Amino acid sequence: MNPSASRIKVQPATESEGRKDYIRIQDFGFWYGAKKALDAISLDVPEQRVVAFIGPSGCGKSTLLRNLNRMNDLVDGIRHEGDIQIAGRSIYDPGIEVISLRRRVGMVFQKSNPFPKSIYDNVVYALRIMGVTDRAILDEACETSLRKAALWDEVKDRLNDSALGLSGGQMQRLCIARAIANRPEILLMDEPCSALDPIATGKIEELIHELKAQFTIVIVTHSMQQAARVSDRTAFFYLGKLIEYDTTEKIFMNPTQAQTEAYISGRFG
Amino acid sequence: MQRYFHDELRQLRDDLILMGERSLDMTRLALRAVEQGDDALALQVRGMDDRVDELEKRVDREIMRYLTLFGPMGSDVRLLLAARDIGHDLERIADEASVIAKRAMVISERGPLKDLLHVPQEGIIACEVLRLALDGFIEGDINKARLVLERDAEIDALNRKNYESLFGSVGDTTKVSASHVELIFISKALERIGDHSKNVSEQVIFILSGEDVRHAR
Repeated sequence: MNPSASRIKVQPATESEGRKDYIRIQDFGFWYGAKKALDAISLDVPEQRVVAFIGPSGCGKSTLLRNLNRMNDLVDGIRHEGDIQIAGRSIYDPGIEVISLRRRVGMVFQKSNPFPKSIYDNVVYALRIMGVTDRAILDEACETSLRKAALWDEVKDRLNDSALGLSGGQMQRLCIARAIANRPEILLMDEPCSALDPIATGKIEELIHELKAQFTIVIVTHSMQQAARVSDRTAFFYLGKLIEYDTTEKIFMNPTQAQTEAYISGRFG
Repeated sequence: MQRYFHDELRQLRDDLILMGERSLDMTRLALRAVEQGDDALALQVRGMDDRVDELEKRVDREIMRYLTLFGPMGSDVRLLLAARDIGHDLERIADEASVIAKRAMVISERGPLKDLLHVPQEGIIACEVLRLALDGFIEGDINKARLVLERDAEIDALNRKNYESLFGSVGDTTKVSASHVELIFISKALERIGDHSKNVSEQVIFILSGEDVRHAR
């Protein structure tokens, strides 16, 4: 099959009108050793929109997410084909520094992973690594990032307390603040709420809704309800293939593919 | 915690209110067209129906979207289920207003009718009851909703009086003109508007209390 023939285009929709595609994934295949994890994936992510990757375990959604900032480069025996472009430039371009790419493409993981440092030190950690020492700049970055992460009001009076004393939901928002402090263009979220209670989950989802005004967001989630609530577009993966990609409303109300319908209605497997 | 998607419930409520206000406007204007023999007004009413039809479809899309995407619970589920019925009833009210306008044009074509039977009074009460039903929904006032259930009987009684005053108890049709038959259709349309207003209020009671008062004797 001609790989380009498998490219799934989303019909023009009001949700993405006037927005250019910020991430372009083109005929992307990926292997862990001899095991093919992704098969000729092609999809575009519009800027300042939320795209959700859904599908059963092992479908390749996290693998694809981790390729967007080349996190998988750290795994032995991997290889890829095809291309991923961000803002019109291949992330595999020899002139691209991986460290710089990961600054532009921030990541929030399933399990919050604050450093055993103060709240303040966590937020400004990356800035200090980059050599920023001006206290005023660090203070400003700390407050701005915590505000954007909807955490400032809860921690402003205890910035020097250990981050490990925060609740699970607060820790996850701290990790989002830490990612934002780097001023990324894209935020990747890998099951960011799977360890949180419904109220903390609600706060993170509200935050995602706020953050999309500034960032392009890709989220992997096992919760179809979460994908439905937070995303503008949804991609359904199965066995390393992209089965369907469309507006979230279309995917959950009237999907084109029978496999998508079976998955979202709980009739899969 | 207020969530961003709760705005869509507000939009749904606003669209239902808009449908209700338009349906009430159409009913009032249609009745004026009957009383004044105003064909232009009747035509205007008929032209307003499409907008209400479109609103009904929009309301249905909003309900389906919310049910599918946002996992509603409790009173939100009741609102969404009731909204589907309320939208349908309001659209039917607009249809009945359109029927009244159409009958007004037929009467006007045959020349002015001096005796409008009890239709003007029935129209006033039908509009009052519809206003009460809409206020019950807008204000979340269960007492207004329950009052609609009682007042619907007033419209039913006037509809019966119209029929009886024309045909009498023995069914004498010799003095009945074609225009009077049109009036009976108008009276029946007003009686249906009362029924739809009652349906709306039954759904308002369901939204507010969870109580299902449909088909109560």
